[in-house]
Amino acid sequence: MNKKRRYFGWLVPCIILTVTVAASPVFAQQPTADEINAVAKNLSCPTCTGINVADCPTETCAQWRAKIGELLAEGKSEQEILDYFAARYGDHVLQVPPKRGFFVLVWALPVIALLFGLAWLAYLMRGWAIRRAPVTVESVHGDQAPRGVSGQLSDDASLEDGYLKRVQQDLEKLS
Amino acid sequence: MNLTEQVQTETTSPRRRTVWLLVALGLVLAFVAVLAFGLRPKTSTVLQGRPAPDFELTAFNGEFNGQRFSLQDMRGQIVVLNFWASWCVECDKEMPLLEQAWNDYRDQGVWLIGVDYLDIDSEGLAYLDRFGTTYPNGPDIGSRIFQDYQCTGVPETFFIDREGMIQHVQIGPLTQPQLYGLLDRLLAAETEG
Repeated sequence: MNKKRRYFGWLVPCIILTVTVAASPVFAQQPTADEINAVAKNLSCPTCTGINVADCPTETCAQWRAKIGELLAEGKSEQEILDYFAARYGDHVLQVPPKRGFFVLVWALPVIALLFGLAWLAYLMRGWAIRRAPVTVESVHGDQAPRGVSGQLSDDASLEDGYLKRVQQDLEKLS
Repeated sequence: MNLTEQVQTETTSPRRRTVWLLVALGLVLAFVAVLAFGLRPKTSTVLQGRPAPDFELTAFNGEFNGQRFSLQDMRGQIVVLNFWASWCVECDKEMPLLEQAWNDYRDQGVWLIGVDYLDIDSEGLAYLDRFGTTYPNGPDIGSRIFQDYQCTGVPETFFIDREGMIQHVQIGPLTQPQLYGLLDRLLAAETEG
């Protein structure tokens, strides 16, 4: 009985000590430079142009990388860290613009431009198709006139009929 | 399609094409206008003589730690709003002057408010400690104050009179004669008024 009490008397403080030490920030796993840079490359240097925080040599970005390290050590995910920086410093610090507010335009404009481009192309192609459409003899004479192999106005017919020749010339002028 | 229809299509298409061209041109012009508006040069000096945008800032240093400051609440006081950052080398020059001015003018109804721009809080606080800064300073959450005041960088300082009008915008570090001269002028204007 005494032995058991002594055994438990030691066990409980040992468990408490182990849990406390394990939970201490000193023993928390420190993120590597690669882990920090993986997050930092998604943030823009706030004081330079076109450089991400991972590649930037300025003092500001060094501070930001240290902060990213702190947040990673606290167990924050990449998205949580990016959200923190966006909330703290503004959306413009994100390399990939968020899909909200004014930044929606950044995502929507290329799609709108593409749709307009396709519509414009379709319109142009329709115009070309009309212009290149063969003039068939039945357009003028119905089934009575002779047809060429391709259905186009045959040389013989156009030569024989002065009226058709004029029509042909008019159509050429229009195109 | 018979010939009549074809000829009609041919004769009406140029008109339709013109309409389409005008629509496309209009869209391109609208896009360029939006871009030009977004990229127009902005400078804080345009705010001189205009009402100061309202702001809210929660101080993070010294005796003011956790206290909320808004321009609206400070109406009737002279406010010197200074933008700085711990990574800003030029800010070093004016930090001692601002603290000195705070000690010399706080009893005359002058508030000095420091806005820590794009900074890590711990770095900002260490910077304030380095200069023994005691006037209220706080982080610019979301860089909103910086944007509202159309700042171009740090340091920048706005001198706001008791009516909430921006009387002077200083881009770059202040000198002591300049700082004291501006504060004296603002206080004198009040006495004359």
